[in-house]
Amino acid sequence: MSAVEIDNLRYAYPPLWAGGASVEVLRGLSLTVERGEFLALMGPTGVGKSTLLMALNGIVPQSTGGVISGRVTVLGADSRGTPVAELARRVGIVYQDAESQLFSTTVEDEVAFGPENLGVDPREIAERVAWALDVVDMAAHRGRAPSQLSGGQKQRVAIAATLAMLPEVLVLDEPTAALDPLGQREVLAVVEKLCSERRATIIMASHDAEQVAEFADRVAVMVEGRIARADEPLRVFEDAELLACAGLAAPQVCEVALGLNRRLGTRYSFATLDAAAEALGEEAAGSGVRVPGRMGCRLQAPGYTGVLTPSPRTRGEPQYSGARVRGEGSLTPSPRTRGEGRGEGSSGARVRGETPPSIRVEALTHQYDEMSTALNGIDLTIGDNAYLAIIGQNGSGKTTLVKHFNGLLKPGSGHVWVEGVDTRTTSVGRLARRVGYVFQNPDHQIFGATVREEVGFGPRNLGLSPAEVRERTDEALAAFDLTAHAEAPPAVLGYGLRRKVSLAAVFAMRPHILILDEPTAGMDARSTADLMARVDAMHRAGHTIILVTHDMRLAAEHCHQVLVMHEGRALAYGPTREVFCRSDDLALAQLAPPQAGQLARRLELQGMPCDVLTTDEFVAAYAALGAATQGGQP
Amino acid sequence: MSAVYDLYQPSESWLHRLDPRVKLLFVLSASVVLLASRNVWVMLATLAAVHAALWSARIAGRRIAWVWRVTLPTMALIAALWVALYPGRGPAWVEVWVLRVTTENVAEGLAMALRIGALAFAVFAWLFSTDQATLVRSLVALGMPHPWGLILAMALRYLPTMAGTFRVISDAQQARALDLTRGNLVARAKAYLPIVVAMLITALRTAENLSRALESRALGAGVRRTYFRQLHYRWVDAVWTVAIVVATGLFLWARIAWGVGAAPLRLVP
Repeated sequence: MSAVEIDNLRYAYPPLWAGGASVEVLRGLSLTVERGEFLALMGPTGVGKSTLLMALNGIVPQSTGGVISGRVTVLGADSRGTPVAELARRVGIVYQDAESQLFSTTVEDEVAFGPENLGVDPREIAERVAWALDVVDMAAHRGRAPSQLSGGQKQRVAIAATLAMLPEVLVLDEPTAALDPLGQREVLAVVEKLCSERRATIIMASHDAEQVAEFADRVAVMVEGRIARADEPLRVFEDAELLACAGLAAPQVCEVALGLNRRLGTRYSFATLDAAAEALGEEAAGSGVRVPGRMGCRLQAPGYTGVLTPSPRTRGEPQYSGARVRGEGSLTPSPRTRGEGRGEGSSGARVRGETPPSIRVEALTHQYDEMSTALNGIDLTIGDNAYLAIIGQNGSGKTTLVKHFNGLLKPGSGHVWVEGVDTRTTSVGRLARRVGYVFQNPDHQIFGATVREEVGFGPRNLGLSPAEVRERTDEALAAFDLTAHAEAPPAVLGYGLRRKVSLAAVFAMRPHILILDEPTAGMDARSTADLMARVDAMHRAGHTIILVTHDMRLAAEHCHQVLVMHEGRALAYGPTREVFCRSDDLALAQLAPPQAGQLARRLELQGMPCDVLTTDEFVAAYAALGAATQGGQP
Repeated sequence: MSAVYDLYQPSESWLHRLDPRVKLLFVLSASVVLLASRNVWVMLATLAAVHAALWSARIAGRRIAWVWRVTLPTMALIAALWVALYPGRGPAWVEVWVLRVTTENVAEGLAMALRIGALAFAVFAWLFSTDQATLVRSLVALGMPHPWGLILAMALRYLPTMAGTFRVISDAQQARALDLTRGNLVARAKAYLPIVVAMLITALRTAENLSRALESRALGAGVRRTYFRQLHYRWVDAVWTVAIVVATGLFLWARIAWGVGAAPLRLVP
């Protein structure tokens, strides 16, 4: 008997408002999951992944209502006819939002909650609690309050709380989507342990192709409420047509394989970093590419000129300088990067000091309480028209720092100047004319009855005339493709649209400096690309963009400078390529470059330059390496 | 952050080890004694006893100072209002229009203020020495329905979360030039509307997710619920129970029979 059998499942949510139409999500979906299998579920935002997962434990339709047809069988039980509480013995589900699934006052009470509801003997509950916390490596935290835990720890407790019910099928709904890189690694280590040591049946929804390729036995891709394909990860990620149709991205190493095959006529096929390193490493070694005795970081392959394929996103980016790290001293990017500005790519560099920097930070320190220092002596200059990524783990001080840029926080000591204005003596309202801040969770700012009202809120607060408010609102709605939704209530829109509304609402205020806090968290590849294209366009139009992100690939592909925050200090700051080459600093901050960069480092002994960041750069560098060694052109 | 809402001070003291139900009995008994008395010395004796218990239980001095900081303004207000509103008998210290300050109303005002302080300390002694989960468990063990206990536990759990969400939403709206500082009280209250509505939407989403999570963890499975956290009523708890009941009974008997504690200054009238 299979663990899960789904046959021709159709489901529509009840109407969102009285008189509205039902919202059809699943449209004849069929899928089988075998016992002991790890199935990854992928698909664009809003395609119905969470709905499908909730159908497995009966929440859909027993709690949600709506219209359902077809059959869902979990270990022989019909999920429509079996009470949710009864199904909980067979199917454990961990949701994306850790905050709303931990409701007890201590970790051990949280883990005990499920077995208590099932009437398990207290002595056995104690054993299960100890076992489950041990599996997720949280035994040392059993007496702590869930609210005191980090995001990764919360998700591990949520997994333990589910494991303690001894379910035969574990369902994970994007468990790492809202986590920092460290939290993601913590959760994935648990998932890996469950797979390798316990052969648990796991169904995990995820947008992260690299995670999926690493762990899953099979990938099921959802398109328009159906399973478009369910196959081994490598086969799915090599199906370019399917990925394009579903709006998904493959792991970066898959793109590397595709690029190499196109450029060199090879037949590489890999989906994980290990497989890629093995295949390319052997190939390079076999063809005599190895550079004996060269152990240090090599920065530039022969014939490799850094940015090889200029694109709109790299226009204006300084050409690769070959320097491994910028000079020590104050955290100011090298003059070449500082000079980068509006129109510089085509009209030449702006002379340093000609216009004031967007933001200048001097000896900034901030404490929330006496016990801890959130920011400790930050010195920083962010040039006009900069495109900066701020990276670091949760709690490293990223958000605290950027909240000083729009005056939400005032310096404990030190100074922050925004376009020459001292934030200490300027109100948040006045600074909002210069600095736009898009918060991570769109729901934290959405309150309007319509999208139009929501987008016009900021301009109205600026005291603009009704005509100008209307003009700016219309412009912002058009810029973010929201005109069709202008009269819809924003709170009931899908996540991707709500994210766009939050961005348009800030865009309508026309700030010169735009801060985006984790703008692509929980979004699929197509939505991410769409959103970043608009942010790129704003940068090209002359805005200063500051991106707080955990997505290293996003930072590497879009941003021109990177600031690494660690324990309240600015650990590294400079051009993106240089910062991603500072492996010691990245290791200290528990970060890693994008997969292409990691792969290049793995092939360093074979002579690959270690400052590669993008797929195109990797392909060019690898081709150049082969050409240089063999004395020919790739 | 959560420390503000979780008053528990971990320790292995005798007070911490005491069964939470016995501690609750002490709080109730102390309340009865304090409400039955109007005497300054009874209030001071109760305060001294609770302070001795807190000190012997190794509760940090700064926590005790925090309780004083929280309660002193209320105590001062009650004492002042009592003196102002209840003209005392006997010779007046000060007499201005309707205000008449006498030894009697000052003593009564002081007793009322100390009553509030003593009640607060009795409750905080219970909260400082009992973790939230045990506290809720003890209430359920005393007959509170489990859903009520769960609601109480969730309220305690989500207080810091909701406070944090309110701050973030407030920041997000201010970042869009919402000014919360301008205008009169009505204008300021109106300015909070976008924050309140966004808070409401977020709270509803959280509540929806929470209900799904509770259901997914077999809440209402239809079987008799068991409890991981077991309460152990030991002989020392029995001794304390008897002592508390006897002491309260004796005081009430003395109060009714001889009027002990009925006057503000003299213990026995």
